[in-house]
Amino acid sequence: MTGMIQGGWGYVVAVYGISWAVLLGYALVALRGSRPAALSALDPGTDPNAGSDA
Amino acid sequence: MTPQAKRRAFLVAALLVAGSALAVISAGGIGDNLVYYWTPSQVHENADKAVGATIRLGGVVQEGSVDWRPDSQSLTFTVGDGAHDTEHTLVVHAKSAPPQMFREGIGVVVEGTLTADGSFRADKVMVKHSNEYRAPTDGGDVKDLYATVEEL
Amino acid sequence: MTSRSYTVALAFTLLGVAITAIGHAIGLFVAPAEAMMGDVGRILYVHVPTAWNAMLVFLFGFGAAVASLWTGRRRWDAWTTAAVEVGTVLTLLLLVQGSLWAKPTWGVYWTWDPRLTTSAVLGAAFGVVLLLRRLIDQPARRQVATAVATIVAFVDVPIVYMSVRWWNSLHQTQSTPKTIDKMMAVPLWVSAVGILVLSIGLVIARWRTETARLAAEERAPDLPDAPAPLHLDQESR
Repeated sequence: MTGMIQGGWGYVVAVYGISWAVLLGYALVALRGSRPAALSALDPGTDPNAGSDA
Repeated sequence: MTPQAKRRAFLVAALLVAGSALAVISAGGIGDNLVYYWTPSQVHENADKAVGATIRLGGVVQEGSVDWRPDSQSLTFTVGDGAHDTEHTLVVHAKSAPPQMFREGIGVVVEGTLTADGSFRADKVMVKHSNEYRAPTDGGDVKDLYATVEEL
Repeated sequence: MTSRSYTVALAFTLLGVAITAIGHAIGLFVAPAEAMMGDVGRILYVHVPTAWNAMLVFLFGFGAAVASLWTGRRRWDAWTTAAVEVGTVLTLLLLVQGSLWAKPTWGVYWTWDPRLTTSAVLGAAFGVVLLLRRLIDQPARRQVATAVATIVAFVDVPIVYMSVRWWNSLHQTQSTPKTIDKMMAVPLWVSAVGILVLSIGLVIARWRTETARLAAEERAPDLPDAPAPLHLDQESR
């Protein structure tokens, strides 16, 4: 009842694992959704060279 | 009103609402009603109200007061307002193993009830860490670590 | 919109990830364990930077909301929305991190202490801003509602920060350079800068998407839902 906390790595791994998963996952979604190609699909008016389907 | 004037009126109103809300809260208008825990002194002052109700008590575990019996899962310790020279202290009984950081001289918050005999029966013992982060010293004096806990 | 801002968003995001990775590597493998918390104390290097940056992102969102109401420009509506969304993600992450840190140190996953309560309110308040935004179809009204709600929700940011001083709490008061050993302060600051740079990249990326969405909406305001039944009624008479 006087030493430092033992066996804490499980919590550390959980916190870092969740944090990196959320941040990387969110970054992937945010970057994919903001690619020039994705934006011209969303709004063909923004880039006359890209929106061939519209 | 033009759309622009209307928008700016909304801006002024929003800032006023936000500013006054913050002013009221920082001036302590809500602070008195938002009590997370009572110190031992406050429990003593309000002993009539405190008995029987579920409350939280926060303070510092007094030197030499910890009695932990693993076989019966019974934990007894004394809590004071600060680490030393405390006017009021309370004896706390708990029926579970404390968190690993629990020790003499550390800040704790316990949840439970004040019994008629003046001791505190805790259902939950929580340990408070100070805002200090230190590397371990070889057999060093851990008491140095509690400078901020003593402000409790 | 040019694709240059995409390059900027991508560069910030990748750089932020790299800096954060370095900070975390130092924090996890080089810095010492904490005297009382042991290895659990290493959660410091991700939890505290997340908290700081959530507040900074919300501060930017607050400024964008003021600009949005003052100028009425669509781009500030997009900046406000992007910041609120990124800040909310960081806040929800913060609550999960804190909960997993609280269990081994304090002994509980959650307690309604002032810092925890006000932080939960923060996530909920900005979550409501995002929800509100989805419920309003008319662009000008939505812009005003988003900005007003953001300004009001922002009140909680200084309250979260000061909660540990204004009220008794289980959460410790703010750490300062004096209260953190130098060997721990280095990975803390590196990680904080890393997550800041990453957050900037995320806000720019979300701003691009939101701006394009608003522009598309303005060009083709064919809202399929609300007015349709009314027209049918009038025709049948």
